[in-house]
Amino acid sequence: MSSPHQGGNRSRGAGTHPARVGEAAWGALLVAPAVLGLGLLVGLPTLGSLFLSFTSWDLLGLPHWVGLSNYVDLAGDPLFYQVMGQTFAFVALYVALDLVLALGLALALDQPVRGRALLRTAYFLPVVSSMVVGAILWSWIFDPHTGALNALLALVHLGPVRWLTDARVALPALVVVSVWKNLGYDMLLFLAGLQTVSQDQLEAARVDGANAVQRFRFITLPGLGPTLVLVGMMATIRAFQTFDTVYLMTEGGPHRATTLVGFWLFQNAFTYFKLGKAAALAYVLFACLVGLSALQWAARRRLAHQEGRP
Amino acid sequence: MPLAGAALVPHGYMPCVCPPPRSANRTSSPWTWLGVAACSCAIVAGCAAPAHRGLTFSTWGSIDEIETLKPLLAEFEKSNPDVPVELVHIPDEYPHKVRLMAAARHMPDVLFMENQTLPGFARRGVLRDLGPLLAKDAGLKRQDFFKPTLDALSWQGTLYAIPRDLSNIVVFYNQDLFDRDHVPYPASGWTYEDMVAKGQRLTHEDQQWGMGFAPYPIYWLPYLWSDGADMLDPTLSRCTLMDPPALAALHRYLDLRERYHIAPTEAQVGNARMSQLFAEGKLAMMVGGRWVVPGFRKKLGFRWDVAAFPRGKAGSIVDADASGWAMATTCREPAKAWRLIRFLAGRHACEVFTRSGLIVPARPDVAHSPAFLGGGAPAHSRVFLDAIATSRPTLTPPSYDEMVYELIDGLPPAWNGDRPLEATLRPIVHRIDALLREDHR
Repeated sequence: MSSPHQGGNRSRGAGTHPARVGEAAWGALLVAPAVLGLGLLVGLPTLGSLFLSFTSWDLLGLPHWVGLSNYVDLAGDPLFYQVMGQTFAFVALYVALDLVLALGLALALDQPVRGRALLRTAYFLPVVSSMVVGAILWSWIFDPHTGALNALLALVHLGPVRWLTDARVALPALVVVSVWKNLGYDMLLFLAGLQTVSQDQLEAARVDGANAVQRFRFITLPGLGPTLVLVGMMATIRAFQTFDTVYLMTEGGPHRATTLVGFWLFQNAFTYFKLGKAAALAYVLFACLVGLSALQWAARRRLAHQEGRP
Repeated sequence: MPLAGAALVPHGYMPCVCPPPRSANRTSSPWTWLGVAACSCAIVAGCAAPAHRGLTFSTWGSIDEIETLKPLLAEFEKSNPDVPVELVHIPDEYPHKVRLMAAARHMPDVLFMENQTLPGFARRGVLRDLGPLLAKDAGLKRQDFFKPTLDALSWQGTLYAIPRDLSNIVVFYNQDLFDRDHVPYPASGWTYEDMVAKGQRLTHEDQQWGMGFAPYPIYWLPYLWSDGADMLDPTLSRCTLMDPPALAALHRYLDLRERYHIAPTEAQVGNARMSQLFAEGKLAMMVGGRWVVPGFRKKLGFRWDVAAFPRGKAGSIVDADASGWAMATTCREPAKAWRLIRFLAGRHACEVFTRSGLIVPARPDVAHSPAFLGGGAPAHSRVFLDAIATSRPTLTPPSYDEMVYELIDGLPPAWNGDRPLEATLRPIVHRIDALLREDHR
């Protein structure tokens, strides 16, 4: 006999059916390590640092509650605005240079040129190299007295430039190092993206007389839209989190000109032991990343929509 | 009796993705696996728990310093078999790592501490008051140590560490270069003007310089103190570097480069350290501490000696910083920890440390013995002791590290002659004032 409640009964029955219970238990068990790991290593520290951002703590003794003081202090600190300004400038420079160079390299190495595999490997090498080694190498290149860069400039009667100790050029110098380090990875993503671009469309355009620039502008670039957004988003996050380059090469100087938010956060937490202020700074950084990621995500959806994808 | 998993599977039902819960083997039950995982975690955690090995003792120091320390600890353990000591050597960023250990509730029982970082620990109550233990001790007395070392290792009138050494600044000079240029060695009571005059005679363009120049406060603070100025007011609430006496003293320091040209600039020598230039015979004089002596004894191929820091308007005033042995409040065996401290602070251990050449001993009996005054260059080691009478500990507010960073990072445009000193200093002073206000909140 059927009843109006039959569907409800069926669904309730499905939820409590012993077989489903066993299945759910297995499912829970299988995802448990990941959930446990994420909870312990990501969830708890995230909540813990949120709590810390409302406290004052120097690692000795117990944290004490200060409410919004850390955020208010940051808002009233001129160095905060300097650091954030420099960080945004670094991110903008880095992302622009990284996208252009990575895409350019990917386009070049997508062509059937001799030694293509070797070149791809060569450009990817910095990605798998230690940043410490890279920083030492670049410090030698940037050395104002004995560095290769100033030696080259001297050939054309320019310089010497104090690459890492002149506040005007230190930040762009770090952008160059950061781009060098990650260029190969983004190049690979673009290379993968290029494989999805329709060869039929390119061929049709070629037959129709479109030149290389037109084919790139109207077929390749739109086809790379999602990859472009993905690489842009990852490059942005990476740039905001930049720490090792600054720590190893300039320690935030000269005159705080290369103090980026990641490095300042580290200084506050583990050099000055202002854990509360550092945690507040981490949440400001988090808010920036969420905001920018949302913008890029919206751009991605728009691109996907233009391509007629769901 | 059917097993749970098999009995619960309806006939004909076969999940498409998940593994079927139908095995007859009881160990495949998820709850069993969870139990196994929990037990494994417990076992691993149990294995990872450090076994208690007596006292833990942390220190910084070079390999040579540790090689000096290890036989002493072995000697202590031999005479105190009930007190095994686990040495925790932290060669780099020592105060930072000790803080992290404190946060992790793994504070060492006995700690080597210096006076600039001690207040940060003492104000949080993680160090034990050693005054009563010292007062009760039959073999160790306050009079065994130079008073400035006890003052430096005290905070708000409480003694938190028993001194090992005293650290101060003197002038190192290359006697061969002085002889070659027929310049008399620095005499007792020499002045800033004498130093400049000698430096000018010892400077040969782009080849040799009369005096070293370093951007770190430890090297330029004596110029301020000797002129009666300071970096902070006595209440640690205001940076006084823009006050006329401090500005004048800083200008006198800068004059070594800009006016008298007796100190090398960054454009001339890059980032080379002063001790490196001195060792290469390119610097006739440099300001430094006792810590360079072991290296100089090994490396220098010329005759060298030390002289007191030149007198300014207020005299010859340098720092009287100190390092010593502290005890954590979390130490569960304070009596045993005190035995270790009194052994390390005793005359025998102090002599061993002193013979390495690295330290100015905190004990007058050792300082006035051949262990310090003999044993090789510098011939006038007594200069380190004479300086104690007029020296003073560095004022260290809680934000000292951040303050020093601002000074080291911010002042180079002035030191390099790219910007006027006042213009460079003004924002730094504002920043330090803000930090001091934060300290007082």
